[in-house]
Amino acid sequence: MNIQAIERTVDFSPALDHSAAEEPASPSVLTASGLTRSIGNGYANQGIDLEIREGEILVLLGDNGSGKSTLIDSLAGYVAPDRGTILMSDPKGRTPKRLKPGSVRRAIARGVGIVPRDLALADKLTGFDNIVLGTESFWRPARNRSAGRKTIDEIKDQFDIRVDLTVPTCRLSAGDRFRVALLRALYRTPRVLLLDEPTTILTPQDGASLIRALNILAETGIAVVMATREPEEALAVADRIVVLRAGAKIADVSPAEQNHETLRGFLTGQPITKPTLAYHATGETILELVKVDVASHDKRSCLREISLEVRAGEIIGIAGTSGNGQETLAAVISGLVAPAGGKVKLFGRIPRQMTPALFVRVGIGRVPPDCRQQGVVGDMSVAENLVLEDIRTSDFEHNGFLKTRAIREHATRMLAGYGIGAPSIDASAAVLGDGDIQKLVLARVFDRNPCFILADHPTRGLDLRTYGEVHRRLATERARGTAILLISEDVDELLTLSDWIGVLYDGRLTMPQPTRAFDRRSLGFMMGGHGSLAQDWTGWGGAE
Amino acid sequence: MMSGLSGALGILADAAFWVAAIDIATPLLIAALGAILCGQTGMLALGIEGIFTAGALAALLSVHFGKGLWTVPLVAAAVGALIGLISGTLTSPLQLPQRTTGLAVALLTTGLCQLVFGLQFAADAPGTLPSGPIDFSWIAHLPAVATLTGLPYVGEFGRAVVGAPPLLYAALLLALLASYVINRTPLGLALRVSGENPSAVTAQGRSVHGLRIGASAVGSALMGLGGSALVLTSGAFSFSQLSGRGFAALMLAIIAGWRVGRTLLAVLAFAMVDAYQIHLQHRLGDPVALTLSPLLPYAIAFVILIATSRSTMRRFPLSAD
Amino acid sequence: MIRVERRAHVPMTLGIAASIVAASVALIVTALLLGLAGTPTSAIGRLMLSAAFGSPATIVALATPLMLIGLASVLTFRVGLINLGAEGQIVAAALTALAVSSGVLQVPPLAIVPLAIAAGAVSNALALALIVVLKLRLRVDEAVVTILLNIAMLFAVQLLTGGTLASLPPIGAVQPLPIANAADLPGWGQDLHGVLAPLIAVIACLMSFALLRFTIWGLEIRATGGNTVAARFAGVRVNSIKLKVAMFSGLLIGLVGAGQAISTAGGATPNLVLGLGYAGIAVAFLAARDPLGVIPAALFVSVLLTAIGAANRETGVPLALGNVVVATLLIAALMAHGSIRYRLRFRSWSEAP
Repeated sequence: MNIQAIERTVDFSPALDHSAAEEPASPSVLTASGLTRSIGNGYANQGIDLEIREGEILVLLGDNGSGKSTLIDSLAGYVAPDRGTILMSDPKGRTPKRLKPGSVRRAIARGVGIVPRDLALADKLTGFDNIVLGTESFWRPARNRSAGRKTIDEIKDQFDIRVDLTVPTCRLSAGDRFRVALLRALYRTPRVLLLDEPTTILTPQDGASLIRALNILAETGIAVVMATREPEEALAVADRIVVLRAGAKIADVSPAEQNHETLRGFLTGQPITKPTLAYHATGETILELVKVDVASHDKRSCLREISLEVRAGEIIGIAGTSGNGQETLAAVISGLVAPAGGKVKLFGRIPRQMTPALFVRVGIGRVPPDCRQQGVVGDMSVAENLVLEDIRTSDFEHNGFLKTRAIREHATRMLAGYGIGAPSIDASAAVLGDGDIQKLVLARVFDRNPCFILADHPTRGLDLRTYGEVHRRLATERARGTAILLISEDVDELLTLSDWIGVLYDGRLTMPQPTRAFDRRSLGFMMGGHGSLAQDWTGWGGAE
Repeated sequence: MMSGLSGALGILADAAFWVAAIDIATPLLIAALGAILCGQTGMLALGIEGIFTAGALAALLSVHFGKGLWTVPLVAAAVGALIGLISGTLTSPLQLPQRTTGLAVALLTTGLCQLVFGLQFAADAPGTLPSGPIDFSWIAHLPAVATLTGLPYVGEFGRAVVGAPPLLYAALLLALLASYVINRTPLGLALRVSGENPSAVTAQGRSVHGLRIGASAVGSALMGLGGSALVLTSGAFSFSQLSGRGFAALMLAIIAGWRVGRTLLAVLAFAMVDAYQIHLQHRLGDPVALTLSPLLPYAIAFVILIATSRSTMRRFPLSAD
Repeated sequence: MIRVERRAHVPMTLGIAASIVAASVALIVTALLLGLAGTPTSAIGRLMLSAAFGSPATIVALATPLMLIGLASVLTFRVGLINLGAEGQIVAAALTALAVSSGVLQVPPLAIVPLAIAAGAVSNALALALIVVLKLRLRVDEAVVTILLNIAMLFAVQLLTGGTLASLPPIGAVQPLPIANAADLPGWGQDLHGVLAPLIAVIACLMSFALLRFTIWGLEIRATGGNTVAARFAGVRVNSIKLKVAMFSGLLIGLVGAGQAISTAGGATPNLVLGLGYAGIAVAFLAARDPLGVIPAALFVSVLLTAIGAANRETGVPLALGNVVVATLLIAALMAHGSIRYRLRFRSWSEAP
């Protein structure tokens, strides 16, 4: 991709200017030069230079696929860049020392801490154990719990973070789990704290509290680097914004000189239009859940008396952060889990056997929550994966034999039509990036012209342009009369697409209300389990 | 019929029965501890059958070449550790499918043992320790032990335990040590997490591969030690006697859910059933009906394994490979 | 700097090369061990060559059961089941076949042989079905259970014939069975068996290859084995597929056991060749889990084992050497085929972005 060509389409003042220095810049704590990492035939990061200063909040703004996660992983030691150096200043003022890449241990030792995007917590361990895991020498014959507790309490007080560390983390809410992961990073006294898209798993309220906490962190001299897709967040919290696009750094600006539009422009180079949902009458009820109960050993996967109705031509949005039963709900609707109580009706009738095979036959399209693990078979080719659901239709088989040519033509058409970036149709699905795997599964769903779509986090990992395309496609399907159930944590997505929204919390579903009854703030509150009451948020924490 | 029944129950009152049970239990316990260590890090030690045999052969060869009583177990443990190092490297960083690799290691190791044994000793002479069975009876004459065994209500089991060879106490000590390390040390915490949530270990800058290879090495050292214990307690080496023991230890560790305390109970139960069927054969004069009785402990363990699988596998999921 | 990345596509030539490397490692190890065991160097070459080219009939006779077990293992591994118990299943099928042929049933003599073989094969198919059901319903680990049953069956037959106990016996060891074979197989029956059996094995391999590559069931089998969750999500009936493949695989293994038992002369105590169950697993992985590759792989392993058998007869080399060689072959094949899925990327410092 030619960076110069892209910049020409953007019609405002040049990007690469450093913030006007009104006060002397604080000393830099980490300087990265020329970080490059290839991926497949292209580059995830191309010659990125980055300077991180003490006590500043630096926001890495970039779309999915822009390389910000790779950059963060390089700094944290998860991956070793192909080229480039990372220098860290010496706390005692001597010459800066090179940080050898590719080792998380070395990065932590030098003061680079990270809260990974998936948090990487040990579910069955308490928050306390998660924080001290691996921090004591393996040669120690006994654990020094009291010293650990003391240090953690000090950190909690200093940064005003409140969370119960005595229960297994699998029983905590998404926000509390994040607090545990944050404490884990802070326990190692980092000088640079990296956060990879922290707000994607938090409710808007938790997200706002996070931003307040980050400010406190920065005041103590810790450099905070936060990766995000949202220009609003960048404007709200950043001292400096670095914009990445297609693996290259294209802007290093001060938020004071930018606004939402200019940042959006940096991100994509072209405006994004939201689909408009035209009013139209809805048809018959395609899917109905009546008081469905699912018991589970894991408290986070129970469903309690869920009732739900999805009609042709409407989009029902189910809002909720992970760990409140979304996976179980999706599994029930996909036919993977049988409810212990209640009824599931398809087209008004209770099917004899709820299996995924039935759903495929009936013409229901489903997007699994984790497309890489649950949606594609890594060892099979892209072509085979694209055709897997429909393999028993006469388009692709004849007397049991595969119609290879038809399958290959179908795959080539899908690759082009849905923009799936695969080296070839024979490539193993495992080598595709997360975004392309998502596109593959979505392509499979949309191409069948289903009468009902279960869209479980459908735009996870997608870049903005594809995100917009998927939304447009869902809107088009809705206009065609498809019934759509949208399960998502993305408040904007829910508000843009849904006709009705229900909130899933702790296994219970609120009565779906028309979307106009919600806004970002109220939806966020309900996702956090706080009913419709506004609350004053002082400090940052839930139950102790 | 009634005399047969009382004869059958009378075995439990026989001191020799309890001595035999403890002799059977000791090597199984030590080997099972090794399996537990591997299991905690998510590795199913299917190579245990071979490593157990290798430890036993190492013990035999050490005694044959005149090494002292303290060196013998060390050699067996070292042999086990070496195999565990290789096995762990194949499974963790090289990511070969662990169950098939475990079988291959078992096959390789038992094959090598049979080869080495065949080359070292005459092909048809069963290997016995040159000095005869190692005599531990001096323990019973220790003043403290003599007083304890003289007490009226100690019973046969108590007498057997108190007069047991030091290997039993070593095994119990190892069990305590293993339980302590797994549950109360920082290392144990990291081991447990590397089995369930390896990404949490990596996030803290620790190496999951290193932990797994280490657990495999130490666990296999214990399995080799268990093999040597069998040779030292019975005073003889034969492939017949060793067959199936290693695998039984693994099965018992699985049934016990990789927990030390429960494994101790499971091993004791298995050993009691095994000792019982041996004594039954002696009592009833080796009748044809009891030809298959050596399979009895395995059959019972199999049934319990199937019954408990669902809950064990839910709590300790292993890789699909 | 060098990085390891996953290949987008593994070309078939690379797969064949990997198998050749693994086979070469096994050959070298065989030669080394034969030498260490006291065979003079000149004899080693002669033994291996005469094993390979000396008597095709012997090679084919040993390759047939290896092919069938290898194919059975390939199919179960491809569908995601780890059946390590072919060894014990052979014993069980043999005993079942002998029980049927021992004259209990009043059947005309001409029907006894096919009936006995069918009994052995079908009973084993049902046994594997049971194991799969236990796995699917009770999450019982099939690797552990099948090895346990191996040990149990081997112990049972060893105890019943008064022999010593061995859980991992030397490959090629001869184990007498406790039931005499009452079915009298006429001379032409033996010859037919000698020609029919390899033919059936080869045809089974070819048909399985075609099934996996060209049919919808093959696609579903590969999907089930590759990622059961995703396959199930896509509507593939994974449980039914696992069950059917396991039963077919059990049938093949049962054929081997029953065939070995019934093919001895009537009235004599049949002998089983032990260790083929494990050797068959090595064949499956040398063949890169491809049914077509099972044919050359089985022939190769047959040559190796024949050479070792000849060395055992000539110079008394222990048969256990075969276990070492087979295990080495298995590990070498796993490593070779595991590594070709990745490639090294060299990023030189002078390369411009």
